[in-house]
Parts: sequence; structure tokens; C-alpha cells
Amino acid sequence: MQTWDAIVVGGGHNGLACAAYLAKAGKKVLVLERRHVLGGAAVSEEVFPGFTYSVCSYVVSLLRPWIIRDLELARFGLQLIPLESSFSPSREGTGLCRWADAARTRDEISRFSRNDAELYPEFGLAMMQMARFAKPVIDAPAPDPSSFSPRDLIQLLRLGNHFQDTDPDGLALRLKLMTMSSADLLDEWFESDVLKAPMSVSGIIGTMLGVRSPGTAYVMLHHYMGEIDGAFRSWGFARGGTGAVSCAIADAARHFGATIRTEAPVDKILVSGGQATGVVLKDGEELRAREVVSGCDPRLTFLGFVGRDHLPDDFVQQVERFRYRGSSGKVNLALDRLPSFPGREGFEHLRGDLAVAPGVDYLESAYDDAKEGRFSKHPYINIVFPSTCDPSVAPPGKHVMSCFVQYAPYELAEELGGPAGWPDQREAFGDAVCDTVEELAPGFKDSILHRQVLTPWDLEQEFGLTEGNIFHGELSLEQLAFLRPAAGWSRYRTPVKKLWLAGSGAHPGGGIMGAPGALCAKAMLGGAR
Amino acid sequence: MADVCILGGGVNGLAAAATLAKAGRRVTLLEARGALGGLAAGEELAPGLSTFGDRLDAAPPVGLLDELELERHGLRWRDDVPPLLVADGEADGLLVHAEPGPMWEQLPAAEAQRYADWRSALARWTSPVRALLTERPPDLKTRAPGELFALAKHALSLRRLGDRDMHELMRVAPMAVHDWAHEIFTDARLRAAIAPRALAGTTAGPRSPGTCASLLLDEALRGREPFGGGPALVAALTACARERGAELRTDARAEEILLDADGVRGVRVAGGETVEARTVLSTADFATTMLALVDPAQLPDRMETAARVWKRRATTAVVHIALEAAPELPAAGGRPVERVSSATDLRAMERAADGPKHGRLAENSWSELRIHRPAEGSGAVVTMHVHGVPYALPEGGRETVEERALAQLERLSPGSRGRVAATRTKTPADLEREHGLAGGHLFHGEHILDQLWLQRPALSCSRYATPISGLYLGGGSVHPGGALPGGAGILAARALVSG
Amino acid sequence: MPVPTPFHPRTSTLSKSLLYKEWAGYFAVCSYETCHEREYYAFRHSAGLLDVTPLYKYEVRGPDASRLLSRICVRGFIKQKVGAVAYVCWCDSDGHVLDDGTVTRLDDQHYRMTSADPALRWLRKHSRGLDVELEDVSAKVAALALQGPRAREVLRPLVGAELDELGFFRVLRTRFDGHELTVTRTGYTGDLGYELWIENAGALALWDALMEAGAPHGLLPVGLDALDVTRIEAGFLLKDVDYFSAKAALIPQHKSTPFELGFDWMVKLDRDPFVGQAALRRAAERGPQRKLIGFEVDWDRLEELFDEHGLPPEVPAGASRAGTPIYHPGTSRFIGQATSRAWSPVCKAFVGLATVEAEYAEVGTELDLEVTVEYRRTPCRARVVARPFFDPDRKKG
Repeated sequence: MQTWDAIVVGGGHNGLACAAYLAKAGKKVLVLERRHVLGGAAVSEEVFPGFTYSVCSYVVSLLRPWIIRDLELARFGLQLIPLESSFSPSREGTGLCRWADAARTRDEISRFSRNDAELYPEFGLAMMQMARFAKPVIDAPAPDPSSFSPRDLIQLLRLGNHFQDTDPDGLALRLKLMTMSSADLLDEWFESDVLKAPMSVSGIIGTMLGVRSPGTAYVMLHHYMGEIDGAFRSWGFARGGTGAVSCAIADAARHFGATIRTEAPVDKILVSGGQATGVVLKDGEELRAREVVSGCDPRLTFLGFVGRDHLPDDFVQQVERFRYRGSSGKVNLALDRLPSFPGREGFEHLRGDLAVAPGVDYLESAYDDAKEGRFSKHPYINIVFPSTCDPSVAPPGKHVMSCFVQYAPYELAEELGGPAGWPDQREAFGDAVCDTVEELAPGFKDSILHRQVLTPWDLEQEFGLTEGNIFHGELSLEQLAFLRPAAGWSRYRTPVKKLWLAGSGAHPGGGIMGAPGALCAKAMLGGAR
Repeated sequence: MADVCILGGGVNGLAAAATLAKAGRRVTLLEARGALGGLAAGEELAPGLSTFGDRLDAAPPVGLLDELELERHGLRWRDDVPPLLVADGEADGLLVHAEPGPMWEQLPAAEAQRYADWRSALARWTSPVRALLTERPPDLKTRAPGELFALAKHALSLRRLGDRDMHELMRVAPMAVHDWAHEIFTDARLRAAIAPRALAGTTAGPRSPGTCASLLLDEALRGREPFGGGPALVAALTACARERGAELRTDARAEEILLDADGVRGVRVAGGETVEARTVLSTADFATTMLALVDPAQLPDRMETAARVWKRRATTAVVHIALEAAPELPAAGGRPVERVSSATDLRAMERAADGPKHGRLAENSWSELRIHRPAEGSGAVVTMHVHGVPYALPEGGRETVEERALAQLERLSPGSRGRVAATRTKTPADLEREHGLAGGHLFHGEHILDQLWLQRPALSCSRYATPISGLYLGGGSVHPGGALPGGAGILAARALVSG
Repeated sequence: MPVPTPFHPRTSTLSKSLLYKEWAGYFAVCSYETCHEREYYAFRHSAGLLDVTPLYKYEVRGPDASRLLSRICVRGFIKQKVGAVAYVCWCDSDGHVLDDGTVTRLDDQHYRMTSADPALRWLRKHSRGLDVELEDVSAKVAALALQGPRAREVLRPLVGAELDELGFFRVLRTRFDGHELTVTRTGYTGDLGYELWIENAGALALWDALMEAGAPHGLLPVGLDALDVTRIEAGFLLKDVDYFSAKAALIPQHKSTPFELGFDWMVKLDRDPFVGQAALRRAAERGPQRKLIGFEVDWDRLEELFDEHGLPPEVPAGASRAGTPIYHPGTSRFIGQATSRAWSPVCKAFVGLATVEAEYAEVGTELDLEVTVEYRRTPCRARVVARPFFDPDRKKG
């Protein structure tokens, strides 16, 4: 039997990135993907004839530029198209649209508050400065403050120095970002709800928290950390959908010599003598490898594929309590025409993202529903129409509409049947989303040709995301950096020798960064040296 | 001319006065009200029935008041910590003791064991951080060898916890008390029992991250309570400060902190008099100190911003109920009870927090009760903190709150309604008016993750000195906050003396 | 997308070059012809008319209007006479300059303030406890700069003989075509000139009347390119070019005190409290670390450098904003940077503005400016000279 240098379980973008780096270093690598398509949650599929969707993850921003350079992804077809604007409609009036053009944005904000219009660029500047600090943190393994190893100490000292070198305002803001709620932080700057709501919401994506929950301000930084075209700016589409990212990485991996198999579901990771030795597929096929990498989330990897018998109790306990609590769903629509929002002419404002977030209280109420185990009657919806900039994803004149919806708590209330009650709630959830949009864009529902509704339950069943969490575990303070996924195991190693974790459940987490996969590969290669 | 003028004659102001007087400073303390004590001052509701102040307890931070030797002025400290009854009716009460012993009788063995383990973990974690937290918060920008050495010492003592405890401490600190309670306990009442201190003084519900930090801070710092509560503490501090020569003035309301090119030059008192002093220690809350007492033209922009955004959204009303006879609490099974929390699960607390979050009175409040029995005679005073009450209340809001409190007491102690001798209800707006608390916030600003320790009230003044030369902060708006009276006053006084 | 100013119907038909840029959200003409030279000479020899509507404009009214402006700016306004205009800057609490502009006392309790950046928030923030009314009239009031030796003759028919009495940095309030017209004797060219402020509805009529009255005097519409040359000749700073606002600074080194910008003359420290007072007192005691200066390139040396390659000397066609290092002539150490440069057609000299370490700021000090000659970067001798470079008597006369 052939022994691979490494087998990667899961053909998501992180597993593929890990495989590509390993293959590039000359390793014989095999990637095993359960589904018929690659990409995991970063996948494009033609769900309805002629309509291609980024079924789960739908925008790209944090994909590390060094990965694009290292793996020459442009050569393998990756093209990113920046989102041009960010539109938040409101029930009365014309809503707020923030444009790439600063003066135009200022005019839009001025209609609500001149104060806010003046401060908006200053806020952007301050956040960009903060993002500079966060960048080295997400581009390297997380140092452990309890460690005495020189490697950790040097890294910590460097971060500490960075802390000291900044001016007092910067230092204070840094501490606030780590501890505040996104809504509170924005309250310190701005007065208009229509501006604060869509800005604050980036702090809660994928978590079971509200915009007023402390610790959510930090995640807002990600909005200022996206790097497209060398500049810190926000989000973009991948031409052909998010799956194009995965496909480009896969093509790079193949180019470097990796083998990729789809429809090859893994049943078990083989462990012998405390060491991973290979995998068994669902059909019984056994594959051997010197090292095994999992791109899946920690619970699926350790409790599903490895089994608690092979793990220390303490570690099992940590894996069990690692919180997922998926809180979002996805509604993908095929449209006959673009929706029309009162007071807005043309469709220029639909070329970016559209946030249904008319107020901070609206968002907080949406969270209140989720705390009680219900999906939000009036949810936060982040909408994009990729067909406005990328004609390859819909038939001419038609459009695809992708709705990211929060909150849809995985853990439904008992009276709704708990998580397993989701299939019965699916259509009602889809209706709530469509009704909410209809209120803002009358006539919208008549334009719907097809509808796909993905609840957190579906995300778990279909994509193997535990509890439907899109980030492989909540991005909350106690689950970041050296605590991700478990204290002492943040450097991609696991208590099982030769088994590595390369998914978003490892530092620095989810968001199509590719960093966990790439950094895992680097750790593996560094260790071999 | 005084060396130091202290604004506010509450526990913090008095503690600062005594400390500074001992260090040889000429101290003039100005209290706006007719009596000293602030929130800790007692108030007679009915003959022989006085409150112990508006807080639920008067436990200064551990060790910090020792040097004042208040025992010499007749103060005696309690060695016991009264257990907390978690109940919302006559049955199903859980009497939660700090010492795990009595818990075995009330809970299944596994749960009692988990509680015991949890208590011992807390004890392990809090001892190394206590030293750090009973000092002035560190200067993050320092390059001074002494400061760096002290920091290194604290870091080492933390590391001595060992990898596992240290990881656990760092993991738990930013967590939501709801999540932590769910990781450990299965009994809903026990989960709810650990939450009140995590939620004290915050708009957050138990699901809010960072509530564990408040809990850990309280656990590390809470010291013993004096017999006689707040009023006894105030009396002893007053005597101590006077003995050391501090001038304590009542009915003297500070109107403006006067500044010149070199910083503070004095305080203008209502009526026009000026108290000259090159140093002012304000125990008023941060927002009041900066926005109401300093000339806007001289207030540094940064301070104006920090004070304006200082979060002080009140969520708690105080209801005092004087009873002709001490209340019986059937849920405690006949055992005497001083402290009660009416929230029997976390969901009730979360829902109550949702009210003020949306700017309205919660549909269902929960309450904490403190029952004081006078030393002699019969009767009792119940002081209740009713949670879920925002600053802005609709018409009749005070009556609604009081009615809720009385109904709550009636549920816990049937028949108590008929024995009410007097009531006194203070909504946040009342507290603001009577005590000058901005927003009516009992702790001088929310205890929320971004307003603790180094960030209380802002990075630039968390070491008690402010960017205004000669102006110090020593009230609940600075570490260790408003829940542990006296700590801020002492630490501010020490910072002032050490310069 | 930028929006048109009220003068756009006229300026857009006159602009043959289609050269525009964005200025504070408005379309602004760079030059009406592809070369700005004629427009420059209009400013210096006859008169030029420039649309300055994009400036931010605020009205401050009320009993405490003087107190508010005194609180914000580095000089006081309590004693300012009605009818006077002041050029000022304002700072943050650390004494770092945020912006500069003019403050005109229109009446006892009525001021108009102009700024380069939006300033309403700052005004509002500091009006706590004061009885003032603030109004942002930026989008309501159109503005023109009429500058040049014949400006008075052009304007007199519209305003009357009163204009002859209008002193330097004084304001005249009058009416034109049924609209209130405010004329200030101010400008950014360092020449005789006026700035005219009128509500939008009166804008086009004012433009037409001025162009008609100006025709016999050689009046031309002028764009920003010509203005940039004249403002350098006049020695005026431009925010975001010669200095950064403290709020836009990325690093502390990008912030400046008024003393570093040569605004010493406008700072009045010993008066009622104002924003940054304490910090400025300390800064004044310490003295500036660096200073903004005017410099003139040694033309003979520059000619030599080009001559070595057989080339004629070459200077930027208009004003150049490309930041350029300045070195110590002896040690070649970096001591500052030139931020604006232009060939001055009137002085026949290559001049510019620079920020250098304070000890090299004395007039007469020799510096080395980096120049590019035949693709090679090389130092060229320059020396510190007094500003303004061009200062005609008619400016104040």
C-alpha cells in the first residue's frame, strides 16, 4: 500500500491551502473531500440551472495576500472584484449608502448627521491604524502567554513593544477594541443609528452575541483589515463565486503535485500508539500516511474522526466545551430582476453589499429572539448580488441574490423541537427573510424565480459544520489566539502525534483567510526540518 | 489653604481624608449633603428602623483599610459571609454558602462536588491576582525599572498558577457568566446564584461576555463586612479622619474646580467661597467631575470625550422597606437569612436586562434583598435592589417599581405586606438628584469589561491622577469600582502621596 | 462623484481644457486652458476670478459667539472689531494644528468662519455651556475670489465707492441684485484682491456682472493651478500639502504646532482659556523642533547641473507638491523636506516651502535640495529666504 507523506481530510479552502503548501515543498499529498465539489464552505455551485451561487461564504476580504503570491493563485484563475458600496435601506427614507468615493459618502451621512459625516473618515483612519496592529497577529501562530519558550516570549515581547510604541490614544483605542461591544464603541463616535447599525453588525457575524455584547468591537477591525490591491479596504467577490478561491487553490495544489479526491468521505482517522497513521474511508478503504491533517472543525475532527479513546480526558473536555452555537443561515435566490428600493434610482447601490440593519435596537431585538431559541422575525440580512459585477453567475438579465441571515440559532427552543426542529422551520425562516426584504423593497417577492434556504442544521448536515457555525467555532475572546481551539494546542498540533488541525477552528479562525491552512503547513514543514 | 481638597464625603472621600491626613497633608473635605456617608449613610424610615445605606453591603476591598485601624474607633468586622438565598417564593430555595460544606445537604453529591471544586479554583486563582488588584493599576507605557520590576513580579506570580490554571483564568475572564455557569453546573438556581456579582452595576445580561471578569474581580477583592454596615463604617472613618486633623465640612457643595496655568488652584463652593488648594481629589463620578465641575474651555479634549462617553446607564432602583416584624422566609427552611436573590434562573436575569437595554422598564424585574435587623427592638429593614429599571421611567414608574418590590417580598414572605411600616424608593433619577450620581448609577459608572481596572474610567486616568495637573479621581469611577467602598479613595490617596 | 458649484453653468462653458479636480466634494477647474500661464498672469497683471465655493463656511451667532471662537482659536475675538477679518488656526488639546481659515466679525454677535475641512463638529463640541447658534452655510453660500491689480476697478461698479475705503482684512456688507453680498479684502494670492460671498441664488448674476465689468480690465476666469503658483509666491501654506491636520496625522511626527508652521504671530497665549493653551505654553517654552521656511534654489548651480548633461535647466511646469528631501550641505544628513515648489514667473526664481530642523531655519542658511537631473537625483544648493517671495505694495495699499 502506498504511504502518503500527508493526507488532508476535507477539501475546503484551508485544507487545500495546507495541501498546496505541502506539495510545493515536495511532499506527496492526498486531499480527501466528502462532497462531489471542492471548497467546503467556500464553494460555488450551480444550484438552479444557469444560476451559480457562493452557497455558503459569499464575500472575500481576509484571504491573505501572501498566500495569493506564494501559490500564484492569479495564474490559477483567482480574480477578486472589490465591492463598490455598502447600502443599508430603511423603511422610511432612502437609507444610507456608503461609497468608495469619500465625498459622496460624506454627503450621504450628512443627511443624517453632519457630526457623523465629519467623523467618519477619522474613524476609518483610527481603525486602519488598529488593523496594522492586528495584522501580525493573524499572520503568525498565536504566542502563549503562559509559555516560557523563547519563541513565545520573543513574539510576546514584540507585541508588547508594539503596544508601548503607540501614542496614548492608540493604546486606549486598542484596549477598547479588545473589550467593548461594537455598538458601544460606535456610540462613542457617532450619533446616527442608520450609520451605526450596519457598521456594528460586522462585530457579531457568526457568533451567538449581540451588537451590544462586550468583546465584539474587535471583530469590526476585520472590516478594515481586508486587503485587496495592497490597500486596507473592505470586501470583494471572487469571479465565479467564492468557490473560485478554493478551485484556484486546488489547481495550485495539483500543479505542485497533490492528489485530490472528491466523493471520498472519511470515516475514521487511524491512530496507533498515540500517533496518526492514516484514514479509513466510509467504504472501508484504508489509506496510510506519515502525517494526517484535518481541515474540519475540532469537534468533528476529534470526537468524530479520532475518537475520545485516543485523547487525554482534559483535552476532550476542552473540545466538548468549545462553543459553536451557529447563529446564521443562508437564503440564496434567483431573481427575474433586481429589487427596487424607494428613493434610489438605478442599480448602482446594489453593486456592493446591502445590509438590512436599520437600527441598533433592531439588531439587538433580532438577538433577543435568538436568545429565546427562535429565528429572528426581523433578522439582520447581508445581501449581495454578485451578478451585478460578475456576469458569469447568472443568465443575461437575471440575477443571483445571496442573503446571509442572522439570527438563526442552531439550538431552537425546546417547543420548536431543538436543532432537529429546523427542517420544519426552514420555509418559515425563508419566508421571514423574504418578507423582511419585501418591506424594504415592495414588489421584491414577485421577482423570485427560485429559493434555496440553508438553516444552521442544513449547514451541519450538508457541509459538516458543527452546529452550523460558519467559523468552525465562535470567534469570541475566550476562543481566540492561544485558546483556539484549546489552551496549549493553538499551534496546529494536537495531542495525537502526526495529526494536525488546519481548519478555521485553529488560529486565526474563519473568514476565508486561508491562514490556518497555510500556517499549519508551515508548522509541519518547520517541524520536519 | 489646604494641601488637598476632597470632594465628596462618602466612604471613599472619608477613607482618602483619613489616609492623607495621616500622611501629614492638610485636608479639607467638602460634602454637599447635610450628613457624611454618601450612599453608605443610614436613613431612619420609622422610629428605630434605619437603613444601612443604599448599597446592599459595605465590604471594603480586602486589606486596604487595615492601616486606618478603624477598630480603634469602635468598628468590628464580621468573620462570616452571610449565605445567599436563591428563591422566588416559599419553596425550592437554595441557600448558597461561600464555604461548600452546607451545600452537600441541599444538592446532589455530583453538583455539590462541582461547587466545591469551583470554589477552590476561585480561591486558587484569586490569590495571585489580589496583590495586583489591590495596587494602583500599572502604567502600560512605563520604562521605569521599578515599575517594570513590579509588573514582572506580578506576571511571575500569575505564572506560578501553572499552565492549566493560568490558561483557565485567561479563558474565563472575558467570558459570559451564563456560558461559564453552564459549563460547570446543572442546577438552574446554582447557575443563577453566581450571577448577581457578575452583573452588579452593568446593563449586561448573563449572556454578555466579560461578566465573568466582574465576578472574578469581586471574588479577588471583596473583604469583610463591618457590623452595623455602612453607617458604622462611616462613623469610624469620620472619627478616624477627624482625629488625624482632617477638616470635614457638610452642606458645602463644590461648584467648580478652579484651574490656572499650572493646574488646580482650588474649589469654588456654592455660596461663592473659594477653598484654595493645589490638589483636588474628587470622589464624584467621572462624568460629573469632568463635565460639571471643570470649565469646558480648560477641559482637555480627550477628557471631554472620555467623560461624555463614560457609560453610566443605570439599571437598578433602591427600595427600602421598614417592617414591624422581621420577615419569615419559608424558602430558607427556617434558617435565618440576610441576603436573597429572587432570580432562580439565568433566563430571568437575561430578560430583565433586555428592558433597560431597549430603554424601557423590564417586564419582569428580579431583585436582590438585604435584610437588616436592628440591634435592639423588633422589626427589620429590607433593602432591595430592583434590577431592570432604566433611568428614564414612564409616569408612575417609581410606584410601579415599589409595588414590584413589595409584591416580591410578599412572594418570599407571605404576610409581609401587612407589616410594612414605611417605604422609601429611589429610582435612578432620584439617586442622581439626591446623591449627584450621573445617570443615577450606584457604582459611578457601569462595571463592564471595558470600564474595569486599567480602563476605569479611561486609560489616561486609571492611575488616579488625571491629565489636569493636581486633579485626582478617588470615587467609584476608578479601580476597584463602586461595589467595594473605600478602595478607590485609599488607592487614590496613596497615588497622591507617592506623587 | 463631485457635484457642481452654483457657478458651474458658467465655469463649465468657459473651461476649454476639461481639466477638473475634486475639491471638498465639488468639481473645481484646474485651468481653463491646457496651460495655466495666462491665468497666472491675469492674477498678477490684470485680474482673475476664481470659484472658491468649496471652502467650508459656518455662521456663529449669539451672545457667546466671541467666547466660542476665542475658546477654539489660538487668538481671542472678544476685542476684535466689527468689520475685521482674521486669519487664524485652531489646535487640538495637545497644541497641534487642526486647520486654518478666516474669521470675519460681521456684527457684534455674528461671525463667519471658513475652513478647509468640515469644522461643525469641533465648533459644536466646544460650545458646551455657551449661548451660541451654529449654522453650516457651506452649501448655501457661494464664494468667489477676485484677485489682481485691477480687482478694485472690476468690483467698484458693483459695490460703489465704498470699496475704496475697504482696508486690508476688512469686510464690507452690501447688497447685490436683491441678495446680501459680503466682500472681504482677503485672498490666497498675496496680491490686491477680494473674496465675495453671496447666497447661491445670486451666484450667477454676480459672476456675469463681474465678468462684464472686468472685460475692459482683462479679467479672466482662473483655475486652481494658477492659484497654487501665486499662493507659493505669497508664502501661504496649504493643508495636506505643507502640513497635516492633527486629526489626519498617521504618526506623531506628522503633527505640527503653530510655532512650527510659522504661525507664532497669531498665537496669543496670555488670555482666557482656549483649546490647547496649556500645551502651547509648554511648546512656546521649549521652542519648535522644526520650522516651516521659504527657500530659493541657487539657479546658477541648477543650470550647471543640467549643463553637465548638455541640457537646459528644467523646472516643474506649475506648482509641484512632490515631497523632496533636504540635506545638510556639509554632512548630507536629512534635515527636512520641501513640500511645495514653483518657478515664480514674477520673481524669476525657483522658490518653495519646506519644513526643516529649527536650527537651519534662519534666513540665509544654506541647504541642499534634492533635484532630479537626467534621471539622477542630486543635491542642489538652496538657501532660506524670507516669505512672502512676492509682496506688492498694492496688496495692502
